[in-house]
Amino acid sequence: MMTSRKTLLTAILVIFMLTLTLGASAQDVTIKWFMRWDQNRVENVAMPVSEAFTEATGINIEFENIGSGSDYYTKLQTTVAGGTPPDVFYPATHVANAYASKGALLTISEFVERDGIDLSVYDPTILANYQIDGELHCLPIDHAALVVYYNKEIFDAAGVDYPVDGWTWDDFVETATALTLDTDGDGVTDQFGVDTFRNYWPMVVWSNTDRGLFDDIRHPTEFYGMEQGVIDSVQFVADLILEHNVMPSDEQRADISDLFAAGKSAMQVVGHWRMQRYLGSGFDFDMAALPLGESGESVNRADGSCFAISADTEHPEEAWELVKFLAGPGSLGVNMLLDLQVMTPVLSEFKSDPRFLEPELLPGSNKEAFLAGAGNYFSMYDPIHPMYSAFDSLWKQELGEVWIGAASAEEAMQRIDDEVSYILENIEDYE
Amino acid sequence: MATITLPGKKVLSSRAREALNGYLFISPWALGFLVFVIGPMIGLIWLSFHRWDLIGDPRHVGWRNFERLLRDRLFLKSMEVTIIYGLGRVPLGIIVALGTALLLNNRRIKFIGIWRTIYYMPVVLPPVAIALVWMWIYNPRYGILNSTIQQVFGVPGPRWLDDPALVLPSLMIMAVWVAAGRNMIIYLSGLQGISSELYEASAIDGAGYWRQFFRITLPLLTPVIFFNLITGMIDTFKLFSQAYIMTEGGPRNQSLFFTYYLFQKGFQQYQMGYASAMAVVVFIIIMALTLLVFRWSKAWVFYEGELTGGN
Repeated sequence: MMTSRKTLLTAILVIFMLTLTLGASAQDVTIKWFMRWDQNRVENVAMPVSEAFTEATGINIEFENIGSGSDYYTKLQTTVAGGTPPDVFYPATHVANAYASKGALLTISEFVERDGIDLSVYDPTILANYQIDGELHCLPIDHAALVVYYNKEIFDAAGVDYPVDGWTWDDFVETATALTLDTDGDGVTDQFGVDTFRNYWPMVVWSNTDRGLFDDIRHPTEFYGMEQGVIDSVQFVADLILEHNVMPSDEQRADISDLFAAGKSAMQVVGHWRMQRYLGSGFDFDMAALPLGESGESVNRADGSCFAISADTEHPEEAWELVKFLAGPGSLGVNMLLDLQVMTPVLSEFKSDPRFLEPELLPGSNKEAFLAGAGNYFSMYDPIHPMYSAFDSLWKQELGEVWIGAASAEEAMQRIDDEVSYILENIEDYE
Repeated sequence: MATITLPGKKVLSSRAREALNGYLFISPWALGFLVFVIGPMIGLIWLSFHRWDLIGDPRHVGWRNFERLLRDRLFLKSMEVTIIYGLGRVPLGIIVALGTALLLNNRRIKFIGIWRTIYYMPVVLPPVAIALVWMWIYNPRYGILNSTIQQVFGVPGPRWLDDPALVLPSLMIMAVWVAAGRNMIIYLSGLQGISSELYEASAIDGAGYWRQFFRITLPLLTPVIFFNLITGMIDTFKLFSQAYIMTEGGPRNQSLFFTYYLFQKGFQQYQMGYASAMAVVVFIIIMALTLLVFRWSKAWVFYEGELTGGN
């Protein structure tokens, strides 16, 4: 009895070990895919795409998602520094550049060439954001194009005409003023013309000057902060709050995450990513292109997100297959995101796709508004340089005073300019 | 060798054995201290002479980081903010906690256990929850503070956390409230350690409450006050969550606390070497301040044990 039991045990062990060895054979590669999507996109895109990918290629995916952007980047940074980065991740433009400039991203130019991917189907200005010295570092999927959403019901009730193509910032102020109401007469505004978009002040600068904030987005040497067009643009945004009272201050917003969705503002300047929320709000709305500024040029945002591969990945081939599956021409990933109405695609074939332009969910809507500004694309994170983070906290501090009327745009820009000059003189400390 | 083979004969003297046992008992802590405190500290000093973005390899830059610190307006601002805050918050904290302890040491107060629990409560709350509650208290439009001011005085209250002049005092008051419970417990134990004979004897001699307080209570509490002074100073330099959650260093950098600026440099701008240099400088400052306060304490801290011979 003892011997037969022993034999049985040995046999079981041998079988067990064989399974283990077979299981770990080359066929069975697992790719770590790390995202920062909301639940909607995780459930309706990431999960089905993962399954379809494993079915098509036999490559397994270990999916991880952190919904909050800042927590996502902290974790990404830690894993990259610790030498255990995910194989495929999802950086925003400026983060992708910071990583690429430090050699943390696998360049994909060779793969693109080998697989004969035609890059001309991507918008060239946007694609250029992910190219350093001619090398492509990731495949972009969307760009954060801004539009003016407007609540048709509020416009109708006030008898105000809907925005038309080619409207200007003056028209915008006029429209917003007509729609700002104190409905119960208690001296407190109950309905604002537009929800706050003050953090998009660079967009107003582009539309007035047709330039970014620095002379060179990759290698900044000069800051345009003290130019009149920039100062006037910042003051214009502040005056929407302080003088025209059509845009709420922080106090007036009272931590409501989206006044437009709550039906408390007639307009909202934001990108495609809020669409789902507005669809769920139950009111009739549409989109208009951004108003024109002094330059007369229609402008928009170039920056967005891309799918990148870690330079340290052990499975570059498999990771590339996944990236292609997610963001390549005709890919399933982009297709599914398009159906979900959550983004403005970078691929031209999808830009003209009826599912994007004439979605069933929004019959007769002006989705073309998201495509306005082509040819004049700018990055909201300007410059695309590691010093951006310092610049970002700097302007938030100083312009915070402008938004509450404690400083003029000129005073604040002067202080920002002083500090930026110092940063630019010591730019190598940030590289 | 022979000693080992002999049964019953001790290899080590009892004194050495006791010492060995002692070292064995503290070894988990000592190892942890070496690996997780001393190790990183040495790494930190090494990093302070390098430029490192967390991704590439650190590059040696000599004293460059320290030279930059001296010219960094925001670093100097962060030191200024931290020191002003400490000068307000530490004395205020000592007075409030001592006052609370004196009140709650009074046996004539009813439900004293409940009161003590209430005052201790902030200590067990997570800092983030506290920060969120106080953000609502200070909310200029909807906060309880300003609606009270509006009702009582009929004027709108100030903007508290959004006002460059008020942001530090606002944060001080909150910190005092948070720390009062913990410090109160320490004062209470100090108060209860004072022998009642001293009060009885002085009462017979005709001393009133305040005379007793200044001649007996306060002198005998000086070691506790000293302890709270040192920990308060160190807490000041460690302050982070309020700046991170409530103000993001603003408005206009008026709450740019040292630790928050270090966090910005290290983890948001990826200048780990520079952040390390900041940490080194502040380590030296805290050490120097602590030594100074220790020196100074000889002049005013009174240890009862020293007087009675410590038997």
